Amino acid sequence: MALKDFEKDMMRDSRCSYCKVIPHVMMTDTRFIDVCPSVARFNFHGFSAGGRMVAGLSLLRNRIEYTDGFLDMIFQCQMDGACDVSCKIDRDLEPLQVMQELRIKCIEDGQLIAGHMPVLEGLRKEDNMLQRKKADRGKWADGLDIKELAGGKAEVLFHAGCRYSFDEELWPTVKTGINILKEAGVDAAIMGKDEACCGGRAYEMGYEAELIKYADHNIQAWKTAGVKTIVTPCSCCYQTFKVLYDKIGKKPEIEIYHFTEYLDKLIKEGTLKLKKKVPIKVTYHDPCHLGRLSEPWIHWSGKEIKVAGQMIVHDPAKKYRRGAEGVYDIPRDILKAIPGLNLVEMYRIREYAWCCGSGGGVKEAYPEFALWTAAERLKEAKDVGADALVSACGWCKRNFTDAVKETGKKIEVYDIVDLVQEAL
Amino acid sequence: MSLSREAYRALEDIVGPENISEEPAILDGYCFVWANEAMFDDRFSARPLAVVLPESIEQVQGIVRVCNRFNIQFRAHSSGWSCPALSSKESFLSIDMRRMDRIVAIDAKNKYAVVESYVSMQKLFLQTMKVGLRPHTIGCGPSGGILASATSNFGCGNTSASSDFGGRVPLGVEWVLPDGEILRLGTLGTGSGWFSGDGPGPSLRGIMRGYGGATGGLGVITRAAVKLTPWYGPPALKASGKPNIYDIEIPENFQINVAAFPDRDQLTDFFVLVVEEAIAFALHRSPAASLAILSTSSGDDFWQMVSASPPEVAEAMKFIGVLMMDAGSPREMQYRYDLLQKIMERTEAMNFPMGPDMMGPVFRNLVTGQGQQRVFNITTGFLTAAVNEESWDSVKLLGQRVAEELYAKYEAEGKIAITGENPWFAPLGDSFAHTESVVSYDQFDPESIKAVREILAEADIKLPQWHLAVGGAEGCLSFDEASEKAAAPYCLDFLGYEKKIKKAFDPNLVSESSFYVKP
Repeated sequence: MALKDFEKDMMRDSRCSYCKVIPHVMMTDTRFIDVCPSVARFNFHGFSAGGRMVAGLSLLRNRIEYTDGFLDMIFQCQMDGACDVSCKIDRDLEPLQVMQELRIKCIEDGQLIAGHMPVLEGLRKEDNMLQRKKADRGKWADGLDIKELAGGKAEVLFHAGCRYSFDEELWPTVKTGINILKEAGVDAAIMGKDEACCGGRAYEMGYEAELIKYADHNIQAWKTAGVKTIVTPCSCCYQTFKVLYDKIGKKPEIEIYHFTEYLDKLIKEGTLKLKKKVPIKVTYHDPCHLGRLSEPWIHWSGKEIKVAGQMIVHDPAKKYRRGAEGVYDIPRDILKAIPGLNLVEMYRIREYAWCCGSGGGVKEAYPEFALWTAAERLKEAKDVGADALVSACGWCKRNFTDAVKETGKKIEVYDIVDLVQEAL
Repeated sequence: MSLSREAYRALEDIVGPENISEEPAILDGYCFVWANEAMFDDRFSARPLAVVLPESIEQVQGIVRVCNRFNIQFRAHSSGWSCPALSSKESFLSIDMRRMDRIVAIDAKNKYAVVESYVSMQKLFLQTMKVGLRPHTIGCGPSGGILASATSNFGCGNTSASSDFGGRVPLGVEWVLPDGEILRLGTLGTGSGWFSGDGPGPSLRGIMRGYGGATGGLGVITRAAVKLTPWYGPPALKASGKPNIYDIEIPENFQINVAAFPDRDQLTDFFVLVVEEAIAFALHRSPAASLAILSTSSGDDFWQMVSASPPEVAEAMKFIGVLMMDAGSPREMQYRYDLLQKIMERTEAMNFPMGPDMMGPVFRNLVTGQGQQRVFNITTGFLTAAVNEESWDSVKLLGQRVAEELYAKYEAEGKIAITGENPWFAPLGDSFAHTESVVSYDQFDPESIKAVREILAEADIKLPQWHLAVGGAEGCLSFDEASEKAAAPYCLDFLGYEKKIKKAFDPNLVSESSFYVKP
């Protein structure tokens, strides 16, 4: 697909501004109705999905040229997809796909974002998004009794992902993850230094070739190693393996689990018993990539036809991804299974969850905006009386942790795995 | 066309560098709106000179004064969801009121709320339902600006039978006139609060908005008090399930009835009687297909439902009325229900049974306006070709004549969607009615666009010939006075009076007036 393939979607935008807020029937508090961090922060319509649809059309029609202002408008966005869900409450449009193709076009046309360049260079050289040495990728597992694939075979692969592999503060989470698997008797392995990036975050920045490259590489590596199941604690990797690889026609014939799904399975089977009390009041932050963005891809090919004069329908009928089929209940079930833990909900949850701020290359290129977005979420968490914010993604935890330091907000930030560990 | 650097700096000094833009990609978001193609042959109208985002009345006043000093045309908007908010042949300074989005006060005892320009219907409703009140709904849906609807641009919706229409909603108003002077209307003008629009203090509602609204042609309204109506529902709507058709719990003290009538006369009588008895929370006629639009998840699903429906069902549902009643107690609901039965008997109404899969979406639509956007999924474009505000009899006449004398030819040629007689109409308060005959077209098809343009022009001519009131696109005064000019020979010199008002209030003619009048 290309931007041009979405020309009709862009034309059909009605400028209703539905993409800016949660649909009325799902709103609960007037202070927390914004769903799009970008337009909430920068206010001009161009910073909304609707505004970017217009900009895409303008670009196709040569009404505008590339400028720094235009690029900032396109890339100061986490690509979190909340706008897409809100739009689709009533419309049959694909704003998130338009924004994705718009970024791809920018990159193809050589319009690069300075803040992304070191990350991309690092990725191309070291196969990770954190500008670290590939050779150090497996260091997080030093001292763990875990099988490291080096030409060997394993049915269950634990894929840590770039963030968990190189962010030392997050290492306890993945170490815990491995220990839980071992205690549950799961014969899992890791790839260590041979693990590669999923390519998903680069894709969100507009680098489609990187997604294709890493899809090919990873799928081949898994095939060679005889992997039948992948478990990852990283929501971004999960969404990339499960959804994006399928989107580009490279769906792996492997079961993909987010770690929470695997945990839930173990808890519900009785293999994992949460016994210790964890007396804390928490709220759960739905990571975008585990929630609305992880809805399975729906392939469609066909054509538009006219019926009853000018009525437009699709042949065959088209189905839309509306954010309903993400992983929402499982993390909540896990939290509810922890004795003594009090789970309170925020105002923007599930398919309308406010983003943590780090996605879409924002953390890398626009760090202040990333922190502003996270700080807004912390306010919301405090407002519902939570002592801690729990997420299920390393990127979320990193950005929230940074925002806590920056804002001085008195709130703990946990990965859900950390709380499970406390309860064991 | 662009702003002089001196003018730009003057504006930047007022709103700050973050809140002004001349970036073309940003400006294009302020000249793109549905139905532009019907007026300009393009989805884009003239690109604004710049866009500014004020956050206070002082900033708005400063902007307007700069515009007077440098002779810059300006127009303000809230959500921006309509041509009168954004479209023009000539470039102007677009004032996006987005940063003025505060609910200033809710006076539950006296049943009004004070809002800034950008507060949407959904935002205000969310807050007022907690204290048992609701604002008037806006036909365009929940994202529409409550202040714009009350003070500047028509403003009718599903609940107009009970919550009245925009023109009767504003109380005290804070208004930055086109010359930069601040005028406070009603009680606000004498420092007595917001509770009355008609004084003591200047009572200029007729001038501020008249019937259709000045649509940005007479300065900027920055705050207004709007009337609220009792809300007998819960403090929050209870929705569950998955998008985009959520399950919504219909409160016990609400009841929806869809009734089919043998002919137009009975349908009209039903509306008159229901309004007389004041038992409606929401009341409107809409094509039966609108129920299918609301309860299906996409345009494709809609078509599957409609095409699978036997023709006799469509025929039986040709004349339907949708009524929702609310009540403060079971006894009151029983009273209303009994009255309704009598009215239905008298008008030979047949109750149209609806399952919960349809009932929920209809309730959601009647209460919040959510769902209106779905009409765009059917053909991609639509316009209200003939709009009419009249007595019930004329409403009956309009739907029929528009279908037969305006649409039939184009439907036969396949240039517009075949919808037949499709007027949407609703009572406005207790005295008269609003009708819209929707024409649905394909934004991508030049022949379809040409057809809709011809229909609009014909409607302008024919409405006054049929002795019906001034129409115009979108329920407000039309672009370049087209409908007003067509109506002028049949009416008093209302256009002349409007031009005098415009001159008196806007001596430098800077308040962009494409959808109002040109002096």
